[in-house]
Amino acid sequence: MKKIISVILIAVVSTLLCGCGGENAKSDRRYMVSSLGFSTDGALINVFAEIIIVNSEDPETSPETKVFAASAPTISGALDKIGSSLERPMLLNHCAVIAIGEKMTPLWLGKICDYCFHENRITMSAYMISVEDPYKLLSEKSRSSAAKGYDIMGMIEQQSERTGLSYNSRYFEVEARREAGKKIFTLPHFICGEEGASVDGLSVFKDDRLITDLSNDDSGCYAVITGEFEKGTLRFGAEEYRLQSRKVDYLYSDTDENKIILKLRLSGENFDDKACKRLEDGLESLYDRLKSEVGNDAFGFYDILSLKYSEFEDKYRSEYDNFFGSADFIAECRS
Amino acid sequence: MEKADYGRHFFCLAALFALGESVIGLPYSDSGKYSFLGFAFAVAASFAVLGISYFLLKSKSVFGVKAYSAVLLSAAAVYALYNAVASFTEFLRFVDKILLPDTPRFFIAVIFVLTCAYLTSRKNSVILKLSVIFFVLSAAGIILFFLLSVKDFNTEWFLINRFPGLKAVLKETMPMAARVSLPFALIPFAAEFFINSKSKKYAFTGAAAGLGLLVLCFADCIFLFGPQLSARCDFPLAAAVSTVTVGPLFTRMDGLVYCIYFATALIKTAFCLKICFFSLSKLKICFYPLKTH
Repeated sequence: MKKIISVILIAVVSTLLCGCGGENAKSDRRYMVSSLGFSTDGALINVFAEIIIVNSEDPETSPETKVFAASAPTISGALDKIGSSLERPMLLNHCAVIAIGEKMTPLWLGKICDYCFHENRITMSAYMISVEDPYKLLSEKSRSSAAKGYDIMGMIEQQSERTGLSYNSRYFEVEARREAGKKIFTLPHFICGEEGASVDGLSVFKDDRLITDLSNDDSGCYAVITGEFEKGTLRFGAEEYRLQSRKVDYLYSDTDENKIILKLRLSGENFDDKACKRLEDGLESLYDRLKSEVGNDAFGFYDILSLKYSEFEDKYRSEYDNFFGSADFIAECRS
Repeated sequence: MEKADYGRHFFCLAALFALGESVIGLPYSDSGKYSFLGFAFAVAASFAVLGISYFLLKSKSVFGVKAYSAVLLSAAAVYALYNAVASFTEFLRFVDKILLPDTPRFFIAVIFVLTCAYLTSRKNSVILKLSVIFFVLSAAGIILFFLLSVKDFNTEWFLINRFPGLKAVLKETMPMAARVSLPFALIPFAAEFFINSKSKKYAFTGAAAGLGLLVLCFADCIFLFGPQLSARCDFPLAAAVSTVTVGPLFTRMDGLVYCIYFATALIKTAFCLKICFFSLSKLKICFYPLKTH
């Protein structure tokens, strides 16, 4: 009898302690935040919160979403301002998207990431995205779910499956790279057109600053160069290849002239020597274009080569920009 | 004779003890870039500690010196009490920060203390049998979570371009060894108390099973977050579990991991308190032997 009582006691206590009952019990009395947006005009941070409003008094009324905005010198200050205009507290646990404005400064981006880390209620698997105007994006009417934030999440996952691009833009993936001292990270780039919002490739960030936006086609090549392409469709004008990455290797040379060499092994239907050459030209052309546009390394070659070659890390820790400035890029592709 | 029958139960108890608060706390906040090397050394050190502790305990009967036994039992009692308090306070910190931040600590502390007191005051068989249930649930939960999070793993976090040197590895190993390996010194005392068996089989296999599960939890955190972000998290496994989506949208596994931690914290605290009482009672017998009439 005692044994049974003890097991029951433990089970009851476990049930009491181990749910997220503390939050859930109150969730029907809170407004659920489905996405957060951030932009800045320098001194102040503008925070946008897409909130799902449910009328608990009238279950017949269907939920509606509304975007609330506030500006303040701190993120928590702006959220407090939003909270002061609501009748109920905000529930941040279901925030699916963190939208970053394109004019975000490195200082504010760092503060946003820190805020999301310390604010336990924001889930670490929320997607981070880049968009020119977060307010405009989040204000769009949702088409397939209760809120735009969940639509955006679905769009990223669906686009990733179709193109083979792994966006790696969930908050914990971005923060892990930043915390490990990696200089480059990418976010899915959204545009707001007449037909509604769409994913328009990748936004490349270096040292927490947006350095360039890439089209969907360029994003494929970018992912091949950075080794993040696994399986998907690459397009070069009218040509289209369904490919699978088999092997990616990086080499460098600094004897006669500086070179970064990418050795690729890809497989796919109709992917012959001619297509290989076409891909090599496409990759080298993207490298040259980004190098001249951005002026420095937009691919994170330093991180890639340092991880593989310890002597590279020792040699170019402080003089990498000189190496990269004079380095040619050679793509060697095999089918 | 009856005690020897609980060998398999003790296997589960030792495994849960090994998981303890490390299940949710690894890698600790003082870890760095090479925490996985430190952890690997700490795992190896755990078996060494277990072996040394068995040797010291065996020496007690070989030497038969009263002072030696007294020192050993006193050390075990103090260290067990320290571990019980550490496990309890860590659980309270977890409740305060993650589980129920809006609930006053006092209520949680009362529930936890009462449950521990109940477990400690009951016969050994109660905690041993409960360990079996908790161990099965914990092992299933940890393995399931590991399998579900594999798709998000980033192997880059385990790549290093050179061995960082013994000094750097030792720097990572020492704090881990102190919190993961050293408590294993209590297992032989517990084995004597709970199963009174000369066989070391259950203690070693139980410890190995617990460490194996701990490796899965540690690998989860490192593969998902990398060593630096994991170390920055207060409770890395709780953060890691929040990234795993089981079904559409946010059908998550948080509750399962919280249950596992509750079970391991409860068992470890009660286990340590039992060892503390056992050592003190032995200590008493050491100085005031029971008189036979």
